[in-house]
Amino acid sequence: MKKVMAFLLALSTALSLGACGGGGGNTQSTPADSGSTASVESSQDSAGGENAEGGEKTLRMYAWTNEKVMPPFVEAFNEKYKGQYKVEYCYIPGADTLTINTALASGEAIDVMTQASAFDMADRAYAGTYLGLKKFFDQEGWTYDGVFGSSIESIQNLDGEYYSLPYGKSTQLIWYNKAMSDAAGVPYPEPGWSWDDFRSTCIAMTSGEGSEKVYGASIDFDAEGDLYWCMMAFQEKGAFAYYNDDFTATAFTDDIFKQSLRFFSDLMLVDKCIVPIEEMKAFGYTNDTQNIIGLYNGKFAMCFVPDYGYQYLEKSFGEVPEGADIGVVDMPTLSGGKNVTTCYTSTASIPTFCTDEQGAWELIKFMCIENTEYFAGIKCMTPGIEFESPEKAREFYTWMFEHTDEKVGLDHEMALDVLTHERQLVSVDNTYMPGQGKLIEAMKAEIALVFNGESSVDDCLTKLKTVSDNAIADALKS
Amino acid sequence: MNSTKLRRGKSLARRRENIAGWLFIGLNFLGYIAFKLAPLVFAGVLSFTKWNFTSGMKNIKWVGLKNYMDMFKDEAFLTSLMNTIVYSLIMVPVAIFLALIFAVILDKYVYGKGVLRLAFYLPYISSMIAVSLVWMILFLPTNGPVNQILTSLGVENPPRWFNGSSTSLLSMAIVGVWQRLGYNIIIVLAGLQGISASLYEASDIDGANVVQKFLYITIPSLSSTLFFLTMISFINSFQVFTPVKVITQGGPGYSSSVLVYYIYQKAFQYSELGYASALSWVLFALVFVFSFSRMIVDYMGSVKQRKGGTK
Repeated sequence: MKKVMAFLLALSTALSLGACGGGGGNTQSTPADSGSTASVESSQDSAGGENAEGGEKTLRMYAWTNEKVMPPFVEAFNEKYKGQYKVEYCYIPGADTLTINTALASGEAIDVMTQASAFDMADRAYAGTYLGLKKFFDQEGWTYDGVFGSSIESIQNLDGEYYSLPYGKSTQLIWYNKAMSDAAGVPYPEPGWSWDDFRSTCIAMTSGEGSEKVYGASIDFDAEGDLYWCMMAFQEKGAFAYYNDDFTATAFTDDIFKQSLRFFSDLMLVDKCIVPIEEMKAFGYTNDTQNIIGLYNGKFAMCFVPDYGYQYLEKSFGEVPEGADIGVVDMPTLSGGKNVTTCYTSTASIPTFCTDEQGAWELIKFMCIENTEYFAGIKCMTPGIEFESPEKAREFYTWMFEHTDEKVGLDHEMALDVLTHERQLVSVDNTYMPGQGKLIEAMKAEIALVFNGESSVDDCLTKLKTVSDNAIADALKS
Repeated sequence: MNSTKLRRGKSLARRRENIAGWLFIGLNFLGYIAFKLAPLVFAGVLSFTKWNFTSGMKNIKWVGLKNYMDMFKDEAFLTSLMNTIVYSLIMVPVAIFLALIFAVILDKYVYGKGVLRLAFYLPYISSMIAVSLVWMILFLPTNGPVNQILTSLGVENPPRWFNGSSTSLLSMAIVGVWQRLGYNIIIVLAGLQGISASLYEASDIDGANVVQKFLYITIPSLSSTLFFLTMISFINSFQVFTPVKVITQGGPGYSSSVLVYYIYQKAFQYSELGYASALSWVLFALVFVFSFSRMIVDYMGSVKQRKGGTK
């Protein structure tokens, strides 16, 4: 009896284990299943397969955008491509490298994958994960720089091929608390201001002591994507600022890098007028959302957050205080009088294993080029494309303000005005891969030591150059 | 004839028993192969390759011993390795020593043992993410409560804790000790229950004082408990990850970077699966060598003790 019981127990365990792992061929669990979109009965039927009703092909698009804001996008695409394609939105929990790599390696049918890191995009492209898109540009009769501008083109061009389209370019701006400026009697920052003006404003806006201290500005020097510490270098030198002409070494010891790093580290350590690095981390100001929340709660008078920052002036991110009055201004430059700022892109790519190449192209064309308002717009982002004219840009942002939640405390007219300014955009993205992992790692480690007061600007940049140059040389050798 | 039948019957029964046994452990063993052994072997194979896992299995590139050779030129890896060892050497002895003291006090000298035991154990079952955030605030160099107390006590330049290169690892070890202490106390308390009261009674007759009892009865009687705790604590401390990821991300510089965090960065931030696998094997070897040598030392100690007993 005992043995029979034992056998039955073992058999039932085996069957239940089998049941847990089974069904791979017919029913696949997808991120969509746990999200808000309809569950998928069969990946074969759904992904790229023809729908019995109407013969439309289903295209699967993966992104981390809140599902609640996606229905207009899905409806607009389905309407435009009625009878041909329909899109199924699959939510992924974030833009982390691991999250996206795991999704790509999972065997799921993915027609469009989005990402926030140019490094990751290039890494995947060189690994053969993404489809080259040049043929589609040729087919449409477009050029990449004609659509997205030369700075972005130079970054996205991987040995003459393009593997992604930017759906949004996060343009660096400065957000400021107008009520605090009024209270302190400090004039609002004006377009065309210089870094010296920025410094004096920061000093003038700093007050109090200890835990009550209010800082002039909050700038996240920790984030590898923003590269604020060398913003002056990018403004002066353009894209790929930290490489020499033939990309065989770095230019970290150039005067402009020293000037930029010294300027920002002095603000933190000498003038003590920007939030110190330890408070940035402890209070979460390294996160754009927390930065804007800190701004309207009067913890600091200005903050560096990309153009999408105003989306956080919304009740779901926390109660915006009564009387909050938030303004925005372009980045200062070294000598003032110019409008040059940095940006980084978020992109969409087509995996080589997509179910329908042409359909996937139509989908990323819709989201990144032809109907940018439905994706970049609903995410409060500036689209990757170059606007044909300032009027077109104004039209886009007006649509955006009308179709997204009310932004409490935002000076809408000023925001519209600033967002549509003509400016020179320099991409801080980096797709030059040799030694880049080591370079990013060293940059994060060494720059933090300067803002910590443990390393001098000269020592830091010399070490950074040595480590980076060695990494590039090793990579090129192998 | 009867005895042959009996033997055959017994042998059949034993065989059936064996089959039942195999069926039970067989399933577990299949799970072990699928989820432990196979990934371990796969990681071993990967450690000789260069591979970005989004590119599929066909793009695995064999590089021989390159990953293993590269790591000894990798300053960040060597620093992370050294940090891991230093962290373990601070965290493990301190957490065990304090646990021993607190357990003895809890066992004999306080009221409300249950409540205190729970209080000590709570950090161990608390979320490390939440705990890390609390410690970040406590250890803020400028306005953190700890430094405010130190300043009010007259300390002119209080430590920068997580934010200083020279103190970040120590701060991490303090968090580790605080979290581990409750678990260690529970284990030591269990060990204390197993010590015969007659030993203490005999020592009372011999006129031993509290310290002598602690040194000559309590500690030797707890040797197997302490051995278990040392092993488990070292293995856990070699695998420290969450507080590093949440609080310092290995910084400032590489001052608090530890092996598992470095492996995570290489594997999942820079997609260097091959190199990360080689690093994982180094971690495995480190834990294995430590555990094995500790077992040998313990075995030799017990042999020596037995010989002494025979004499």
